[in-house]
Amino acid sequence: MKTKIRELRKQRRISQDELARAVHVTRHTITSIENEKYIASLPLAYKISKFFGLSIEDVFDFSDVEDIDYEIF
Amino acid sequence: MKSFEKELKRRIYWQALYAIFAGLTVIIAFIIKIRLYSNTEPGNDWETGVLIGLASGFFFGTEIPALCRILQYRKALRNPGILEALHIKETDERNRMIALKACQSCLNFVFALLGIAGIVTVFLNTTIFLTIGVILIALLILYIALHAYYSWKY
Repeated sequence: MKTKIRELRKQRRISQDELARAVHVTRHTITSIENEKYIASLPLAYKISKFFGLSIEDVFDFSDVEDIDYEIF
Repeated sequence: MKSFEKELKRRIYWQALYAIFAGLTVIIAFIIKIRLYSNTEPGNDWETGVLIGLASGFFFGTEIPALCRILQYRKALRNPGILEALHIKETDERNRMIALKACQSCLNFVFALLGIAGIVTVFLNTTIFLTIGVILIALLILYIALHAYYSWKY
């Protein structure tokens, strides 16, 4: 899933580590979300959006949500 | 964070108990074997040598990880920064997903390997075949029971 996290972070000069600590996840999780390797859960998406003071739709791009292929294994 | 602190204290208690119990069990089992059942002097025959190796392996394999965990938890309880880092590491949703996926894949491999082993042992040994069959049935019953439980829970 595409996100604007990297963009927003760079605009506000926030490191991955700082964001990770603020939303209580590891830096790897933020990296994976930014690289579209991992889809954040709803509570995490909410926390990240709240951290930036935006709505979930402003941070996460839901336009391709129906094309997301959920892996079985 | 208070509940996590309590959880760590609980874990330290159980790890210590486990370390003492596991260590004593290995030592007692080793002494019983050497004193009562060994016909030769300790360390003189091949069997005793293997036993010493296994007992030492079990002993250090249980004691060292338990000790490391106790030290890690004690350190975290003294330092709020380390405590928070440990909490994040344990509750991180990506880490949990990785662990879950690893378990899921591992279980699939176990089923596949047991199935193959079952087919192979039909031709070789009936006892092993029946043992594998019973294990597979037990796993299947456990899976159905857990599936039913989680379907009811969520």
